[in-house]
Amino acid sequence: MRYLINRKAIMAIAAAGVMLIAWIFSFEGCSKASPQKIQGEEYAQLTYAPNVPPPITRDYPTKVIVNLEAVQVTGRLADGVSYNFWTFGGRVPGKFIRVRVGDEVEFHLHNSPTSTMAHSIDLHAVIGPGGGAISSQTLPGHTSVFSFKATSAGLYVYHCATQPVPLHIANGMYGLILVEPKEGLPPVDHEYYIMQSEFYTKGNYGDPGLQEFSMEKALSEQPTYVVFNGSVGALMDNNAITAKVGETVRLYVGNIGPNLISSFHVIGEIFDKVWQYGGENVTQQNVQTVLIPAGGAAIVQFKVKAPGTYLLVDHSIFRAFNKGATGMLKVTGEPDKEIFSGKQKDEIYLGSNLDKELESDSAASPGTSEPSANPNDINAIVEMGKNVFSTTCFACHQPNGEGVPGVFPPLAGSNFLNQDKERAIGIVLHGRTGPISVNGKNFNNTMPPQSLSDAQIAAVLTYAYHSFGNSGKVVTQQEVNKIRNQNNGKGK
Amino acid sequence: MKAQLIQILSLIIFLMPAAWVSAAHIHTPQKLRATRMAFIPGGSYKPLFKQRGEPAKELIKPFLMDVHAVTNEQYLAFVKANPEWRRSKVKRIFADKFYLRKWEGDLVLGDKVNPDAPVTDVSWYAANAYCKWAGLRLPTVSEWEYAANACEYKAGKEGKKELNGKLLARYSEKPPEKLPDVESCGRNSLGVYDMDGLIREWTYDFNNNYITGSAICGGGSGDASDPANYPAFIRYGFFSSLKANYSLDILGFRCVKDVK
Repeated sequence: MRYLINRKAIMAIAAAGVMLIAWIFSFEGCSKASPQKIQGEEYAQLTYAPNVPPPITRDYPTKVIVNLEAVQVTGRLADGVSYNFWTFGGRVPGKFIRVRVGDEVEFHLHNSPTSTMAHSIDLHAVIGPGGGAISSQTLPGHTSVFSFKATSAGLYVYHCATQPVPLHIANGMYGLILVEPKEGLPPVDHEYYIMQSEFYTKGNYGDPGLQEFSMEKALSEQPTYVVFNGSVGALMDNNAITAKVGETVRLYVGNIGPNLISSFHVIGEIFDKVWQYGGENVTQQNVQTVLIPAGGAAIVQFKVKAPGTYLLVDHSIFRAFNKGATGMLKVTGEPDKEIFSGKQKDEIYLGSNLDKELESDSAASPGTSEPSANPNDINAIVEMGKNVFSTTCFACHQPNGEGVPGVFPPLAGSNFLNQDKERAIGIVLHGRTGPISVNGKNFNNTMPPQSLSDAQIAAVLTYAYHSFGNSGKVVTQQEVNKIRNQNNGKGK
Repeated sequence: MKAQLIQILSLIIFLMPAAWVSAAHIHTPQKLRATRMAFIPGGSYKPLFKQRGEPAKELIKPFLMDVHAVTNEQYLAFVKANPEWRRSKVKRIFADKFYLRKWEGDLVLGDKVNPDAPVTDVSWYAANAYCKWAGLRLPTVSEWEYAANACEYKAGKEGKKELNGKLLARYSEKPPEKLPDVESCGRNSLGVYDMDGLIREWTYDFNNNYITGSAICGGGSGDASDPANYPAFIRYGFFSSLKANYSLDILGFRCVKDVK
């Protein structure tokens, strides 16, 4: 009896245990959101940059067959410059691959019979030795097949990994593979594929003809070219990517290097959303520049709000300006003046004298450290004033003080000058814009303020008053200083 | 030690009359058109990869080497004399379906190949059989690399750099549809021609441990003796994927002979 009870108890405990385990497993299953079985099969639709295959609409994983051919081609690197590229699919960058997380990818890597060497592929989306490189070493005229599970959603780089790997990469063997999360990515109006890379050529940037790979430049990490989508201008002018005002643009951006890190920026845009490193989640919002490591990727997305041309650059800006790392996004549509007004005015700016103030801040007091003449020696003052005049004033007022009719008023015999000494000091100090009448003739122009010391202004005005048939007045340093201080006090 | 070796080597090379190199050794088996053979003086060679525990340098004994690769015309003579190596007769385990694929027929070269160009689309088995038939043998990887790197011994580091640059450029070029004549791709200081550029060449031990070892696969330069020797990496990477019955458009061979 007791034995029986014990036996029942043991059985009950065992049954409870089995149920518990079953429950744990079912729970485990639930938390993984019901693992889905592979259903059917399809051929991956691959695209050349800047195009991206259409979003995946399946809500189940399937077997995806990818066919990619390694082929060596001679192509354009820049205008008048060609290069022997090694490619995946005939162009640089290689074709864009798009699958869904959970998919079983059967990869067929073909190596053209015309290739001069073995090629392979390392997909960063693959978990396994060499990212598939070892299983895909393929001789010319051969095909390798291997399969992998797309376990992790994200944007990944792929590249050739046959020895010597750096050379295969430097010659153009790379591209991107997107593993969509199971719910897909939010729909947008435009998706584009952009890949940054470097080329190392024996010749300088722009040297014409077929350019050979330079081992020296590659080793010292000093590329001749840094480009988007395989060549200088691949995304410029007629090849620019496009959008309309109000549309949302998503860029899948990869950087293979082989050496440099990219500071990817779109001039005049802010990335609303960034999937930094191309991972599954949006990591930041409102980002100006995204750092993309060599052998890495990022997804950036933004709504275009103002029409115009936006430059895509590596903000390591010499690369953009001198090595080719620029592309264009052309946005058409109606301008929204609230978002961006465009140029509203173009006015004359006389300067704030800030430069002079900063300079004199570091000097003991304005004017005193400047060269000066003995205030009692009028000839010395006039001589000094002549020097100032012949370096600063003569270009407009002319060496003889006659000015230029209709443009620059004369100093010679000038009623305007002779009437008012203080006004003259003020104009030299602060400049003047607008209509004036000199000797009965009208002028409407601008004289900028002059960066001269009190002593120089006193001297140059004294020189002007003593020359060109003028009134012979003397202007002193103290008079200049008084007006400078008056106006400074007023102005500030 | 190395400097001495270079000196001795360059002395030997310098003193060798060119005529003696080419005329004294001629490879004239049966019905073949003669191929001159160059004398390759022995010396030491530093392989790109070696097994752990092996000395860094390998001693190469003197040998004779065909100055150019075996041509279509020469290979045709071999096929005529050895029916089992005709395209229609060859067994798949000895040569894959690319074997002599550009030839018009079993015994007809046709328009797609140049009779005086190196024969390609031949398997290792076929190359090996040819050399045996001619009373010769395939070179080892070390012998081939040693002979190909002649410039290195002659001109030191600069010569090597120059050679590597030249080879990388050649490797990057797409070969023409129809290969040019042998001896059209340059002669090195040992008197052998086309040691790279025209085609890749079979070696006796192409699938030795150094080559199929993990050092070649994946990304790293591993234990390579010279990580900047990209041309050698390309050759090794190429050979690492080869199987003995493969026939490729850019793969031919030449023969060598021991010096008794």
